[in-house]
Parts: sequence; C-alpha cells; structure tokens
Amino acid sequence: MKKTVPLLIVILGGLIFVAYAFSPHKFLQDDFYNKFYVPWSYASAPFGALLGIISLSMMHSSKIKRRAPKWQFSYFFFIGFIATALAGLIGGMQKGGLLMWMFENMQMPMSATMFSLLAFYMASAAYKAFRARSLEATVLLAAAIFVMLAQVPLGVKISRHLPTISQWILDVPNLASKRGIALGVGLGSVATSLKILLGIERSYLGGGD
Amino acid sequence: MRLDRRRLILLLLLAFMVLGTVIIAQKKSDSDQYVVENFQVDDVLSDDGSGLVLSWKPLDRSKRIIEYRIYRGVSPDQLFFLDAIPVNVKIGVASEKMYYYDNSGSEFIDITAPRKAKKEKQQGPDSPLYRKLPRDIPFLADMADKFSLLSLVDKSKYYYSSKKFTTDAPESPAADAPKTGDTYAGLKDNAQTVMCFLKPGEKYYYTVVAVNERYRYQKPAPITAGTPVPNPPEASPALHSVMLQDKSSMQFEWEYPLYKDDLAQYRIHQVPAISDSIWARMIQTPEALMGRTNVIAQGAVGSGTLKNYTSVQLPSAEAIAGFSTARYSIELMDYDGFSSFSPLSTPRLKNSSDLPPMAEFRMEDKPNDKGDRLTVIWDNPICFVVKTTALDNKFKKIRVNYQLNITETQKVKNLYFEFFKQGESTPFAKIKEYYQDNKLILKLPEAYDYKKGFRVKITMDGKPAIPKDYMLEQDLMFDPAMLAIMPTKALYRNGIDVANISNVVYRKSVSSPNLSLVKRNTSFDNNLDVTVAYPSMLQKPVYGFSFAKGDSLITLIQGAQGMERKARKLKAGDIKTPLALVSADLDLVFDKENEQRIDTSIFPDVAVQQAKDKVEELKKTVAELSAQKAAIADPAMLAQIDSQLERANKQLAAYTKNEKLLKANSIKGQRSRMRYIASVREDYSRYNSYQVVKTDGKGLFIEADLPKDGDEILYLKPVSEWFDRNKYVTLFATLLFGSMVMVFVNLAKRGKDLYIRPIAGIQEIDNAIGRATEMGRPMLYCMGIGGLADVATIASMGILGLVAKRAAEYDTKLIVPCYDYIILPIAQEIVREAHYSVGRPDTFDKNSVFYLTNAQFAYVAGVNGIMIRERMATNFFMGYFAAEALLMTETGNAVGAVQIAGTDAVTQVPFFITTCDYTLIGEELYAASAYLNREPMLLGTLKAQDYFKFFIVTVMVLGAVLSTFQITGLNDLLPLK
Repeated sequence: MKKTVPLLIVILGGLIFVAYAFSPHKFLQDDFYNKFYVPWSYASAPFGALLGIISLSMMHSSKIKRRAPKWQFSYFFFIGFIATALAGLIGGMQKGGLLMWMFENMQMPMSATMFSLLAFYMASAAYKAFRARSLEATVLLAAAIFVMLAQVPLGVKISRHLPTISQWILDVPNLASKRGIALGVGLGSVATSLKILLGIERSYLGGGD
Repeated sequence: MRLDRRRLILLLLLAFMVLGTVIIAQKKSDSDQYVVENFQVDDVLSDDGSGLVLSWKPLDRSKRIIEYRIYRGVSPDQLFFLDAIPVNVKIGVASEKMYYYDNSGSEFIDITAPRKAKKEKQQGPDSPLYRKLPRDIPFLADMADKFSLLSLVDKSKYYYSSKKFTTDAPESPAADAPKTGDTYAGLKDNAQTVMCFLKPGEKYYYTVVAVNERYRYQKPAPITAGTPVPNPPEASPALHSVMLQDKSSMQFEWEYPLYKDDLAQYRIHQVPAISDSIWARMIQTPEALMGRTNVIAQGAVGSGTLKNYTSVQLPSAEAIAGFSTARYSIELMDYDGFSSFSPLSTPRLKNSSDLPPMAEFRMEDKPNDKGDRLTVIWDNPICFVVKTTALDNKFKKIRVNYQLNITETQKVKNLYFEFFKQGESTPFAKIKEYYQDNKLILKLPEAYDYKKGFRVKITMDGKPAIPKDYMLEQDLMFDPAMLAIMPTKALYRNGIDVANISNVVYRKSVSSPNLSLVKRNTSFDNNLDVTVAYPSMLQKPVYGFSFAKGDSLITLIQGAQGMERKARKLKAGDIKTPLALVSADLDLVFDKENEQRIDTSIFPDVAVQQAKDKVEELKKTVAELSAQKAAIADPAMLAQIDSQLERANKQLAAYTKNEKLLKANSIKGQRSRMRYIASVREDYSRYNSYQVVKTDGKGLFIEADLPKDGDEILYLKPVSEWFDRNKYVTLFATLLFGSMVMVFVNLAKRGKDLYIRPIAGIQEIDNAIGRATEMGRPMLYCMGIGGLADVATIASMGILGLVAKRAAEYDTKLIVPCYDYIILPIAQEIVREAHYSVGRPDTFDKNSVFYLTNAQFAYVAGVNGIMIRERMATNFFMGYFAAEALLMTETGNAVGAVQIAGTDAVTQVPFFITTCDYTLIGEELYAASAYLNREPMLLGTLKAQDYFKFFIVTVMVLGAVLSTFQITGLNDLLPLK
C-alpha cells in the first residue's frame, strides 16, 4: 500500500498529462490545467518549503548539540533565517522594505560575487582543456582559437574569413553534436516518462524499488 | 580559520557596527521630506463627465523617487490609495509635468483590500491618507452614491453562490404596482470585484505622495478637489465622401476621434458649397446651422465600435449634379446630447469600377484548438518579399526573404518566383520553392545594373485549389539608405495595387442587429483569427447594498434620487451578511423566430412568477392595442399600432412557447436549473457571423454579404476538439516506441541477453566509492538544481539509490545537499532504504541528506564549503546543472576528489568534461540506473531507446534524400514543434 497508492496516483496523473499533451480540449486545457492543477500546485508548494526548513533546522541544531566541527557557523543559519523571516513578516516584501533591502544589499552582491568567480574558473578550466596533449585536444584548441578570435575585432583584422570559419564551426560541427545530444536527451526523457507511466521507474517514490 | 569565542564576538560586533551605521545614515536622509509642486485636478475634455486628470511637477531625479502614489476621497479628511505610478529611480521623470487620468474604473471592493479602513504606512494620526478602500460594505455603502458601480463576478459565483435578497413590499402600493418587493442577487465582498467610475457633477478630492527608493513616504501635495463634467465630443477628424456616378449613390466613410467611448449617433449633413473658413465659423454656433443643412443619413455608432461608413442612394439621376457640388460634414453626438461637426468634405466623383473587388470570404472553425477561435478567410494565400540581402559586394547573388501568409487549412505545395528586369517580359530567373523556408537565393544576371531594380511575380499551387491566374507582383528597387534592394510599398494582386486597401472584419452576434468592428487588416493578410472566449465573468451594475447593524437590517437601494437608505428591525430569515445587490436577471436565450431576447431570474420561484407576470402583462398590452387599432382610422397611426402589436405578439409568443424558457422554468432545483441556464446562454452567446469590407479608407468601400444558410444568416461557433490532428505523427511515434519498450522488456524478462555498450563513467562509480572508503573520507552526491519534474533529477535518484547502497555496504559517509525541498524527503527515503536493504540501518544519518537552499549561488557556496571542510574523496554531480556546475567541479578538483558527473544540460557538458574525471553525457545519465541495476525491465527500455534512435536516424536520412528530389511529403508530415 505504501508504494501502490502513490504509484497509482503518479500513473493516473501521468496519463492525464499525456492526454493534456495530445488534446486541445477545453476540459483539459482550462478546467483541468488552469483551474485545477496550477492552483493546487501553488497551494502545495509552501508545505514543501516547510519540509526544507525543518530539515535544515534539524541538521544545524543537531550540529550545535553534538558540537560537531565548526558548529558555531550553525548559529548564523538561525540568525539569518530568523532575521529574514521577521523582516518579511513584519516589514512586508515590497521594495523599500527591510526584506528587499537585505535581498538587494546582501544576497544579490553575495550571489554576484559567487557568479563572478566563474570567469576565473573558466580560465582555469580552459587552460586544462586546451592543452594539446592529443589529436582531439589539438582540434579542440584550434576550434576554440578560431571561435574566440572571431568574437573580437582583432580576429577580423587578422583575417576577414575568421568570422565565417567561426560561424561554420558553431553552425555545423558544434550544432551537429549538440543536436545529437539533444536527440538522445529527448528520447531518454520520453523513455523515462514511459518508465514512470508503466511503473518500471520507481526511484522517485523513495527507496530502491 | 577556527571560529573561537573571541573571534565570534568580534565578528558580531563588526556586524552590529555596520548595521548601526546603515540605520543612522538612513534615518538622517529620511528626515528630509519633499512635496510635489503645482498639483492640479482638472476635468477631462471631450468626455462623458466621468474623468478627471491630475497633473503635477515631478520631483528632481536627485530625490531618488521610485513611485508617485495617488489618493482619492469623497471628502478631504479621508483619502484612499487609488494607484501608483512607478518611476525609474536612475532616470527620473524627463517631462516637466506628470499626468494621471482617473477616467477608467478603479477598485471599489477588491479581495486584496484590507478588511477595515487602515491608515497608510508612516502616517500620523492626523493624516488623511489611508490604504485601499476597505473591503467593508457598511463603510463603503455610505460613499456608494458618489460613484457608478459595476460588479465583476465569476460566473459560477453568480450562478451558484448568490443570495436571494428581496426588499420589503411597499407599505401602500399603488394599484398597478407589484405587491411584493424587488428581488436582487446578493454577492458577498469576497465573491466579486466591484469597480467604481466617477459620476458627473460629484466632487472628488485628490493628493499625490512621492515615495523614495527606501520606501519613505514624502509629504502629500495639498488636497485638491475636482468635479467631472460632461463635454461635447471631439469632432471627427475627417469625413470622406465619394459619389458613384453610374450607381447614383454616395458613399461616406469617416474617422473617429481618439476618445470615442461616449459617442452614440452620427448624422451626415449636406451643406451648400461654402468655404472651410465660413463652415468653421458656423459650427461655433450650432443653432445657426438649423435649416441651413440637410441631414441625408444618420445612425448609431455604438461608442465607435459600429460601422464607420454608410451609403446613400440618390433620389434620381438628375440629383447627381446637386449632390456632387454640395459639401458634407458629419455630426457626432454623445449620450448626453452634445455634438460636434467635422470639417467639410468635397465628394470625389467615381464609378463603381473604381471600387475595390468585393471580398470573397468564408469563416471556419480554427482546427486543433480548445474551441475559442474562428478564422475569417478572405483571400487565397498571400506571399510577398520582405527584404533582400546582398551576399557579395557586387550584388551578383542576393538572399530574398519572403513571407507566406496562409491559414492552417490552406496548404501551398509549390511557390513559383519569376524575376524580371525592368521593362522586360521574359524572366531572367525562375525559382520553384517546393520547401517554403521563407528565403531563396537569387543570382542576378551578369552586367545587370542592380540599382535599376527588378520585378518579382509570385504564383502558387496548393490546396484548396488556387486559381491558375492568381498572381502577386512586387517591384524591388535599390534603397540607397539601406544599401539593399527592397520591395516598394505596392503589392499587385492580379495586376491591381492592393497595398492601400484594408480588409475590415465586422462581427454580428445572434442577439444584435448591428455589426461591430473586429479588426482592420492590410492586404498583406488573407485571414484573421477571431477569439470567441468562453464566458467566465459577468458584469452587473450594483443597485444597492444590505447589511445588519446592531439589531437593524440596513438596505440601500438605487432610486431616482440616488441611494435610498432604509432600516428596520432584523427578522428571522434575514441575511445579516453584508451584500452588494445586483440584478438577479440574466439573458437565457435569443428566440430567433420571434427576434426576442428572453431574460430570466436565477431564482426558480421568482423566474416562474416573472414569466407568468410577463405573459399577463403582454396579453393585456395585446388586448389594449387591438382595441386601439379597432378605434383608429388614420393609416399612419394604424401602421404604428400594427408595428407595436406585432412586437407585443412576438414577445408573447417568445415567453409562452420558447422551449428553453419552458424547460428552465420546469426545473425546480436551483443548481440543476442554473446548470441548464448556463449551458443554454453560454452556448448561444458564442455564435457569431462575420463580414469583410474592403475599403481604401477614403470612401471607396464595398461590403461582402453576410454568409447565409438558406435565407437565414449563418452563425458559427468554435468547437473544442478532443485531439490535436497535428500530433498524429507524435502519437504514432509514441505508440511505436511504447510497443518497442514492451517487446524488449518481455525479451529481457525471458532471459535474452541484451548487450549494452560499456559506459566508462558508470563503470568507474564502484572504483570511486572504493577510493573514498580506502581514504576514509566522505563522498558528496549533488543532484543539481532541477526539480522533480526534470527527467535528469529522476535519473539521478536512480543512481543515488545504487551509490547509497555501496556507501552503506562500505560504511562510507555520503553527503547529499538538496537544492529543492520537494526532492529532500525523496532523497532521504532513498538513502534510508539503501541502508536498510544492505542491513546497515544503524549507519543511516538523516542529517547527511539535507536541504541547503534554492538560491543558485548560495547553493554553490554551501556545496563548495562542504567540499573543502569535509575534504571529499569522491564527488558525484548527477542531474540538471546550470552556471553553478563549473564553480563546484573546479572546487572539487582543487580538493583532489575523484569526480563523476552526468547531465542533460548541453551547455554544461563541456565544463564537466574539462573538470571531472568521468562524464555521462545526456542520455548516458538516464541509462546509468539501468546499466548499474541490470534489471530486465530497465534494460529493455534502454534497448528500445537505441533501436528507436536508429529508426529516427533512418527517417532523417530518408527525409533528406526525398527532399533532395523535391519530394517533401515526409517533411510536411512531421510536426514542426
């Protein structure tokens, strides 16, 4: 029963969505999807968030209790969580409120900082990737040089054919391989969906089988 | 860095200092308050008296204003939030003045409003500023008289949740007055949105408050009052008149002014041939026009939505001279009786051969939709050149981009392009477009001066059959500004330039005698999709309110003198809930036979009584009219009475014989009756007929006849379809794939050895786990940032189960930080189950599978921190990833972990390949679970996948080969999306 009922719900839901994909009928497009499915999915999301919050709180409180290594950092979770929640609950979520102030002046710069690291990580990754150790790596290096040079004015100065070559690399070999992957991904998605519909794939129910 | 107590205190001190500095700085800057200047409230010109315009000088950009909030009240001591105008804080407002038009409806009762009147934020006790009008009917009822109110209610709420509210019967009713009170449908405040509109002659108070980027409210502008008054409408900018000499008729077409909502009627005046200046003086005093003009046509304009043209048949051929030398003006009248005159128009003398060709149109249901669209088609497919691009410096080769406008039911098999040099009749190039990709390559002749331009002729064949002589032509000329050969504005259809001809689509509903404008289309279009929405909302004027106050029942009902307030002691059965009262009547059906719209009440007992009363009343009217008819001899009066009698008889017939009404009134249950009424009224209201009018916009118009079904007008309703016929191939492919899966699953179940090619990344999973066990360090399993709806995440869950099993067997710690809180309990369950299945429930730590955050870069920071602190031996990145992929894998690389990644995000694959030891690309990720499990069912799916891929590649190759030989059937068969 523990697995059968959820499995039946998933199979039934899956079949409804198969019908939704093939049928433009008002009953499925409006009455089911817009008026039933979407509002319910919005309504159930906060309960999922609550699960997340409980999990995180439990993990950090047990860290503090067990005096696990660097347990002091766990206090920052509680401070941050309570401060953010209070700012939102008391001051509201509108622009100019404390919550938005915290979002714009704390979370955004910190996220931007993390994101900006990407440039340096890319350089390091590129260094690793472009070492001409084998024939494949050499081809990769050559292609990368063409494409990168074509992006800057210097490339056109070197040769006016460079942008054409770069575009060809992007449009032909690059796109072909991307489409190959996309084809596999698309088919894999259908297969996985089918596995779920037929009850072959059950990992999403938790547990092995 | 170790975080001991001393460092922690220092850190907290630093944080408090920063916070303190920020708060003090904010407080200081907030002490300065700014007020907007030159705040004015004026009447909106040329309107129906329901609009006021507010204007003020915006504050300087340096004040960092993010919005201007507008407040309105019916008294100066209580102003409620009306609207906010956002301002870009960096740019500010460039103009000298800001305007706000309060001339459309604003919310009076709204679900988002506070329950009780609530002071605006940051306002003292003396401030007159409040938040939105509260959702408090007793409070609102007092000011309801100052507005016109309209309730917008969801149809289901109106049908099934309306409360029956009947007013008390008059104490001493007149002899012919009803003995009972009126019945209304009462709607609760949370069941509707009531919109309010300004009333002419009422006084309203306004102020405006600027709000800065820290959301500090500045001081309000001085409270200013304004009163909307009705004004004469704007004059029509132009009247165009044409005399068709061979038909002895005149055609008039006019333009509407910008504000046309209150326009009711038009009149076309014939004026003697006077000059424009004299006319301009004459219309200053409209009384002076009396007797000096001759009204030759008049009709309704329905707020500018009805036809903007008319034709007048001249009394005789001799009248042509008089009519052609006269001048004409259109008088537009509004609902208040004000009017204005257009400038004079002198008729153009034309013949019917100058008229555009009449549109041959048809209407059809739009296929494969949910039944809310119809298509009006008035032409064969239209194809035209949009632009050209030179592919070399010398313009020897150019790319021609074209556009083909067709409907879903029209198919064009081949397009034939012929290119001619200027002045030549033999084409220098012929191109057959058997696959319409909206572009073709044209080689220009050697030594031809491209600056001379050329002509293109387009013909086509397709289904439904396109006439062989149907052709479209365009001139392509060199544009020095664009440095390209571009099409000119003209588009010749069968030799006639149609670029200036509009195809205007009008709609006629079953219950209305008038046609209303849908859209003006150019001649570059050949069809229009018209939306016929399913009814979802009802609009009902609010006639009053009722609520209980103490032990009294208060009712406010709209009367001749405004809202009349009555109070009486509450009785048993009275509804105490505050209600807005709207009409309980709604249209049931249009009786085509008797040309009569039949209304009914939503309450069964009232409806039955109403029908009975109506029949009695009509019978009485018929009897009275018949008696009058017998006594009258004057033919004119007799004709008038006959017409009234006919109308009354038709009404009587409708109310006594209409089957829908009889059936509705025979249903006793309120819900079942309403279900029946809804099915009838919502069905008939979706039937429409259409008409296409071709016009040059200057009086040369020709209208097609309304489509007919026998003698009657044909009305069409869109149909909701159960199957999208564009998806037959997709369905076939899905069924084929499903069958293949079933076959291979069965084969695998019977023990057939299914070969799966080795995938290095998957084979190395065991080694990676072993390494972590040997090193005594933990492993990290990251499921990416996808949700449960992502296939990659589901595939990742399958792999997690197997990795967790091995980890439990070897007693190696596995850390799973989750990005999605929905995934968390599933991941916890998977890991727990893995520990139980290998007999190690004691080693399962629930806190090693935890929710981290669903902020992308915060997640990266968290995962990277864990990797560094815990010194991971092995990292698994399986799932959907975006920009965070490289940040995490590079960090993993730096800590020396063995990394195995798998994703279906094509953009992240290169980063994984570069930084991870093994990468599962795309579908390999989906295959991993089957590969590791070796379960027949999963293996069967994998095998079917491979064979189906082979099938797809075969179709692709076949399609390419067939297309090369101009056989495009296979291409056309496959869906584009």
